[in-house]
Amino acid sequence: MKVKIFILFISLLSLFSFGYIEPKNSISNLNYISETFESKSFYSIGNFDVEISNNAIVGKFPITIKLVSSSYYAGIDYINNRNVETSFKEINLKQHISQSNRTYTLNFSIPLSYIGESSKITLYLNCPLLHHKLKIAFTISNPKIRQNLNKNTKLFYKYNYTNLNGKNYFYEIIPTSFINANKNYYYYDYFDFKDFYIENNLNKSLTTYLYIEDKSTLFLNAFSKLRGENTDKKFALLSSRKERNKYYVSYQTPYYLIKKTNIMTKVVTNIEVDSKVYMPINYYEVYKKTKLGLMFLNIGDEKYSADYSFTVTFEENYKKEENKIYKENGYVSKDDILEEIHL
Amino acid sequence: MTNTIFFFITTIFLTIFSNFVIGLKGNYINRTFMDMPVNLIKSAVEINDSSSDEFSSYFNIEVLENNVNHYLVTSLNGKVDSYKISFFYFKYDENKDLIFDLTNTPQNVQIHFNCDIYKNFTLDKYLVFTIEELF
Repeated sequence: MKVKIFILFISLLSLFSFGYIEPKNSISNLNYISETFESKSFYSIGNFDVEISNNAIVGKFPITIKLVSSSYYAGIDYINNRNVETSFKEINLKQHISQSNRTYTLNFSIPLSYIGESSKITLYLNCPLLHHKLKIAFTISNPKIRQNLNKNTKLFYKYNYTNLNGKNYFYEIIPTSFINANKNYYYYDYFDFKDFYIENNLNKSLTTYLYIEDKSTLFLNAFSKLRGENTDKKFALLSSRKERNKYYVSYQTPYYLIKKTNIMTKVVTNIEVDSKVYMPINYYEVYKKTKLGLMFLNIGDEKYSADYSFTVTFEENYKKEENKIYKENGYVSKDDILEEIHL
Repeated sequence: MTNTIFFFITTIFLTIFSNFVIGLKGNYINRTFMDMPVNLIKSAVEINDSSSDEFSSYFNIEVLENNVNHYLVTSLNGKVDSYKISFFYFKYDENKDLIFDLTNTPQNVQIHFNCDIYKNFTLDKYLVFTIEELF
């Protein structure tokens, strides 16, 4: 009997020990990307998101079709671990949507073992009868190979949009809207677009604005509002420097930095801002609600093809390195009042 | 006799299994709170450059509480319906007695987390964060 009780006790102990080898909460290692594209007459694309979950790149690509009489093909390509672009999935949306303004969500899950150190994922929507194509491509690092994603991580995004029907478009991309839902709990000082370029086959350079969208007034020292635009957006006109067929953009007028608060200004100080958007000191709250983007005005009525790349650099706030935070288990007082939080 | 043994074994296994499930859940919640990233707290540190005091770093209370609650709500979503939390800001006076820090620039915080895992099983944990300036 004693032996049985002993075996039972050992079994219980070993079962409970499984609880302690549960994988650590890996919330800080997730990437999250979200983007909105729209072509009001044919289709609209909602927030698409991609994240690394359960050893796979998992994502959703919601497409709302406005004109059901035409054929739409949506699919996903990726660069595999032999560096070859491979089709992962393609569907004919007509088989799934029979009424206008209905949304179909293309779900995908590409195992990380299919890709090498990094891969380019391309989501596309092809409307051959309308001579319309949309490609959204981005590269993603494989965390199975590259572990250190938190510090000084660079994410590279490339958007390709091809307009074959020659209409005059008012066109806008939001390359970093993914920051809205970024689950990394690290802080960022600035966004750098020094190596950002626009590649196009137009005969003229684009009128390009960099904008920041948030509800605060912290960026109004440097950026301005544009008439007819969303009042939360503050714009800075960019100039471009041509190298072959690439236009590297930078601020047209110099901006400066108030170091104490990390706020950008037009007032001349000793720190000039070079192709960066600095986040103010209280940025964590601002940052969660902020979008950075580029806007192109009056692209023209020519047929065009334009590529956009955007590099976002995450760096730790240098000022906060002057502090050390100590974390201890245990309590100093039990004279506290608990507040209930409902999820 | 066979039925009695079968009943006895089934009861034991059901008990083990339910304890195991409760243990897993409790362990996840415990780990979520106890492994709270220091950078979550670090991002709430502000520096008062105009201060004449030697110590010019402090926690922005609103940002800290928002960060912690956002982290817990995100991490515990689907695991529990609610949790209880308190933020106790404190300092030591000249006699080294512990007192409440009622200023808006606290340098020490105790976070008390309380959560019902399953019926009478309650998790009650504390963490203390303090700032020390290096320069």
